[in-house]
Amino acid sequence: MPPHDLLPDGNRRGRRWAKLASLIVLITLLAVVPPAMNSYDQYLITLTLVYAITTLGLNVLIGWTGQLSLAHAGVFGLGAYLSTILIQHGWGFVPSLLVAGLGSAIVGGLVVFPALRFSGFTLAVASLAFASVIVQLFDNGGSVTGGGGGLAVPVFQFSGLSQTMSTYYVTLISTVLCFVVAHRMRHLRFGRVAFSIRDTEIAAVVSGIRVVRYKVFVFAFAAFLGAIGGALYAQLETFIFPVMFSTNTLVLMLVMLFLGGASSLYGPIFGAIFAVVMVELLQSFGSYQDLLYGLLLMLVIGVLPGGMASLPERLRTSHLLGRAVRGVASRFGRGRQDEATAASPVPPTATGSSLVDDPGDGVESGVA
Amino acid sequence: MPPADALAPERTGGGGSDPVLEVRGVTVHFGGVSALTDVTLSVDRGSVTGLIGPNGAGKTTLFNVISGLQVPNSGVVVFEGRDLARVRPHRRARLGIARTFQRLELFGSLTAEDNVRVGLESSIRWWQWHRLRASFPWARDEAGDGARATGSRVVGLADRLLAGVGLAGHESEQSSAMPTGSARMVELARALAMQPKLVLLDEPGSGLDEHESEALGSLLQRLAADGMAVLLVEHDMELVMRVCDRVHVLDFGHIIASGTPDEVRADPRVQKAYLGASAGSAPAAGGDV
Ligand SMILES: Nc1ncnc2c1ncn2[C@@H]1O[C@H](COP(=O)(O)OP(=O)(O)OP(=O)(O)O)[C@@H](O)[C@H]1O
Ligand SMILES: [Mg+2]
Repeated sequence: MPPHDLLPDGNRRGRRWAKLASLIVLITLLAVVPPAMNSYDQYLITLTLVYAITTLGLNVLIGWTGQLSLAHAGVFGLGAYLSTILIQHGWGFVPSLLVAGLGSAIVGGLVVFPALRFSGFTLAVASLAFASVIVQLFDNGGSVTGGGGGLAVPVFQFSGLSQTMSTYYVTLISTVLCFVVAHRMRHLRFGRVAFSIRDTEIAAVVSGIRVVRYKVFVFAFAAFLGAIGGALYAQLETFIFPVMFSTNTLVLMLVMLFLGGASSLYGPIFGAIFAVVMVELLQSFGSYQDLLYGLLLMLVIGVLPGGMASLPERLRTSHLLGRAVRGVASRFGRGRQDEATAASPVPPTATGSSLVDDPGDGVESGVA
Repeated sequence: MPPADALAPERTGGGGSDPVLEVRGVTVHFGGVSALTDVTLSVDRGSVTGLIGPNGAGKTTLFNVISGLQVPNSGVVVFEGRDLARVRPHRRARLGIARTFQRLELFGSLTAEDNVRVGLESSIRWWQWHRLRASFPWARDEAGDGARATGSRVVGLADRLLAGVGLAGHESEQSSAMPTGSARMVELARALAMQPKLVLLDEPGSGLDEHESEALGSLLQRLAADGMAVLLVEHDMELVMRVCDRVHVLDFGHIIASGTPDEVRADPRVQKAYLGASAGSAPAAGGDV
């Protein structure tokens, strides 16, 4: 049993409050600081949040449930196009955002049909084909989608705020909502079931889980998040065209997913920060930037196969660094521990009486 | 094809037997290979029934047929008087058929406790959210510091089940990091969490040491005494002969003998099948009765 479980209960509760408080501080900072930034930085920070929402969708699909579906860039585009077209037809921004999300959940949820038959590589190819059909529709949609030339996005604006800041605030609120929902899902039954399906679907089935129903929900939910991201992305870029939703975008999403840490809840945020910050920093290297980006990617994946979200865990388990970090951590309490062993802080003494009778005769206690 | 009368519901009360599961005339082909040929057997409520046979005899295939993972080419599976032909695997689980796997199938990224919780919660429908609520993390806090572990009903049940298979104190270990013996017990606890009427155990004793398999034996007998039906596939003959009320012997997909452990052991066909396969695993080898 890891040592943190031996901490007194008061300490653990204190950590939870500390975690909540620091989240509130972070969100407050994100609300009050950006107005003072220049508009390019405002753009970058909004882009980071948009990427985080989008990658969260991919994470639920691939990282949690283990469905290697690659239609996400297409679904992202679907959200962008649907919301833009709705706004062009006189819809308000928020309704169009929600309807684009729900509509894409239905369309993107269709990928579940190949997913019920195939898994792994076959599903990857089938879903990739699905995404390219969607992008073909953007390309050949005539005046509705603007074809290869794309669509100008009517940008939503709060009175008294710039366009970028209006988009920023809507994005911030969406990010918080999406992550709160995902957090609850992960720590309740849904999360356990998703991981069960990923680990061994056969055992999930014989444990009475309706795998089909869960998969339908997972694909729809992932598409919903992807489409919300896409709709916000359209607002941010103010102009959309089919190439923006090509396989390159998918690769970027996969990079953010695996770099941030697939299967971790907050991994997508780290991945999004990495993607945005790196592209900006490397811009000054001119023609070498792609090369450097690739090298950096390899380096991070090599050092942290579990993604950036696994860094604290990695520090804890590595010998030398670990001792130093543990020393510091014991002074300040460790926030991220809750992530790994969430919802199971059972004191070792609390066994209760055996449901299946006499605990003294239990299988392993018989050995001791 | 099995004869027509084998398909008719059979309600002979002779001998006071009370079958919870009846398998009638089940045949399974994989391409040219016949894994099962016209297999008929029954499992009584409140008993431990053994299913033994040499490697490749078709034991795991029969488990797959019963739990719905393998559709038989012919034959029927009747559970509590109900033909399961059109019942999908997850429904069979909810009706009360739980199983473990020969090749461990644990939810490796989850803790032992969460593995069991998946089994416990699978029977909760979404409209019974108030029951689900008991598994919310904060439900534990509301119960106050002292009762934290049992404040939540689901968590408390999961921990009791784990204690029941001898894993008290291992609740928050990640299951993929557990030794084989413990992992098998987590799988067993997960199966028991569904409160099954019939539990299918595919070589639960492999990977256990002598003491552990002895404890497993008495656990199985207690489960049977509580009214559960246990169908046990096991290569450890000592265990089989000690705990089973009845034993069926499969050989090349055919049931070649059925009866009490003593009858089966005395059967010349069984001895031939085992001696033909390998003398070391003959059912008589480890018997101490
Ligand atoms: N999916 C499959 N496809 C093809 N053949 C199969 C399949 N599953 C099992 N078989 C074959 O069916 C026969 C019975 O296999 P099964 O696994 O049921 O035996 P078993 O009694 O469980 O053996 P063991 O003691 O080794 O576990 C074997 O000949 C096996 O090769
Ligand atoms: Mg087998």
